[in-house]
Amino acid sequence: MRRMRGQLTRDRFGLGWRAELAAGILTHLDRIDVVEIIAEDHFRAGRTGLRALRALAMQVPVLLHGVSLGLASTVAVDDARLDRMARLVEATGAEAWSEHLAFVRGGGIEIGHLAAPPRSEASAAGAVANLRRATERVGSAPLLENIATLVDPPASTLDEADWTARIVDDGDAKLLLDLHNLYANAVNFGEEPLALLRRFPLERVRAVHLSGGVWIEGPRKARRLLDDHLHDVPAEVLALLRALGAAAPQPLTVILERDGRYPPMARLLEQLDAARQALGEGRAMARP
Amino acid sequence: MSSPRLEAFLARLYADEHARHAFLSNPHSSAAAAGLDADEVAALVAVDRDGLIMAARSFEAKRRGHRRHRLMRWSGLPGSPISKIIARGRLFMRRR
Repeated sequence: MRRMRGQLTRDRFGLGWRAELAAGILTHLDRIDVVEIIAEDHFRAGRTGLRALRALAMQVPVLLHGVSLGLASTVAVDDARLDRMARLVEATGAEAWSEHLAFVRGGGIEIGHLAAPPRSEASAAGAVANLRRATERVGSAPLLENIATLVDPPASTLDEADWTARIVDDGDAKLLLDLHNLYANAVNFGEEPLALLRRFPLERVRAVHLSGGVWIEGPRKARRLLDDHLHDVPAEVLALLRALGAAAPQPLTVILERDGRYPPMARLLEQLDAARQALGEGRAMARP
Repeated sequence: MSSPRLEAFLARLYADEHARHAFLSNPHSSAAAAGLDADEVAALVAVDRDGLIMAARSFEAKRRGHRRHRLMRWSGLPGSPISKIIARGRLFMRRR
């Protein structure tokens, strides 16, 4: 694995690698510093597939992003899944990997997506144990990402910021801070987004996710913001990036995530430029 | 609070419509029947019901998306069962 993470000296901006965006990304590498690949899409890749990923990583720094390990659980993470991640990290030369603070299965049932566990001392301890297990098995520690949730996780005894801080402190971990997830949780559960941001352990943030979402309606006219990765990054999330830039002096890697309804590449590049500008403004605010 | 048993119960609520319906009809007995402790049962009785339903719908949509994605990848592989069926169908149409 390349050791660029510890040597990072400047902010970087990139895109989530998707087949639909591949050609656009490759023709605009002058404006894209880094790409993030969904690891599970390549867990079963053969030698040719791995060579292709390696070739990509020779052109642009690659980060691997896991979505299925289920680290935030009182159940031990599966060694076979960790071994697949280790193989991919090794084979691609990715400079880092990340996974969510989520549980994704229980009692043999696959939820199908990232779910927020009860935020408690027990799930925090389980996440730390899984983080250590993953670090040992894969050979490097994952960045840990906060998730969005539509349901206030039942049986929680800690709020999101305290629970996250407990895990990253006890596990000596670094964060991949998803600002749209943070924004969605804040507006869905009655918190002020900027205040919630400031309660996160910002000194541990190394990477940032940006995306968009949509308001959906549920029973009894309840409205919640769904983080769907199908919409542009809203101004409120760029404002959080600006605030993060002012509060966290360390270099950050900012990734724009888009999972469908793909706009022209020019529009995605405009959003990357907007992110550059927002983070730059935050940096300027922090200067004496 | 949080335990493998509670996570399993939540996973079932999120992924199984019948289990969710039974729970929403009678949260206390449903949670108690799963062997959860008194604190966990109390927490589930007070669950964010709107959020639970919206989250479950969102997870179902994600699972449908995954299935479609897997099917498209599988069917797109040369020599896969679906591609063979499609090829046979085309051959049959040409013979007619």
